[in-house]
Amino acid sequence: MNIDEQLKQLAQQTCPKQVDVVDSVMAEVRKHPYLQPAAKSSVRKMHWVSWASVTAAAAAVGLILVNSNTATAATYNEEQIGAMMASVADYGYYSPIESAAENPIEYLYEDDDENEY
Amino acid sequence: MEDKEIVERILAGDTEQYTLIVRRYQQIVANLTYKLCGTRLEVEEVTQQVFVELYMALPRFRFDSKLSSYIYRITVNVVSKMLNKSKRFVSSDEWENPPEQVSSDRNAEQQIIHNERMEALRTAIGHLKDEQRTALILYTFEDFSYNQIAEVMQCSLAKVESLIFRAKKNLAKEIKN
Repeated sequence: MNIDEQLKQLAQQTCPKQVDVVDSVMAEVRKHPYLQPAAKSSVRKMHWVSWASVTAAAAAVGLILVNSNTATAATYNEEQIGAMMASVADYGYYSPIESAAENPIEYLYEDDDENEY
Repeated sequence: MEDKEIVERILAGDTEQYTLIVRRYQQIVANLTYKLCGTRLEVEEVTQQVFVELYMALPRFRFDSKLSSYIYRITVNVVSKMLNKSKRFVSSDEWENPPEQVSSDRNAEQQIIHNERMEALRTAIGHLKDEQRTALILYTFEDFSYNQIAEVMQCSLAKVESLIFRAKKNLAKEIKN
């Protein structure tokens, strides 16, 4: 007898028992109400809350950056601007080293100027 | 009521409709589970687990295939996980013997030989690799086509052919020994 015939005989011999898992399954299913519309809408609300938080945080950061730029710009007085203009006139470009003593903040732009060389 | 309509109602919030799905498919799942596990001891537990997992997965089911195929796939996965967890397939010792079917055209001696042969076959099936055993059982015991098996096992047709070929070859070799 070949293997296929033996397998057929074995298949005929298997008699699984009858099961009834309806009650136990439904008991488990009722513990997971996430499919119900009410639960769905609360999940959506939570998403909206999350997005609103992220948007608000981003706006706040943007506002701070704008304000800090405004504040930095406001620190240049007429003398500093004049010094910058003079530097440009002398060297053909703005030299932060010349004006560093007067305005150390300009060192922040040192790398940018080096790139122009 | 069609499966699709029932599923739509469940997803719309009428979860009690799920009883219809469970009633419709529980015996199919139990039968396959028994054949894949080789024991009736865990059939009920696995069947329950399959339907709980199916319920959780329903929102992702798009009816690209039949619901029955999807249920078979979940059953195969749940059984596979269970067997991996317990680090065993039902060995020959654990494979429960179904009620003996004494054939009228066999004498007592022939019946003993037949029973021993079936026992050896069960043992050999238990020694197969998981994938080979699953493919073989779906093909031989469930009368699945190669295409259906590929769909349930989520693999290529060529792989199914190869798995069944190797499974039979290994069975024949082990029985011969």
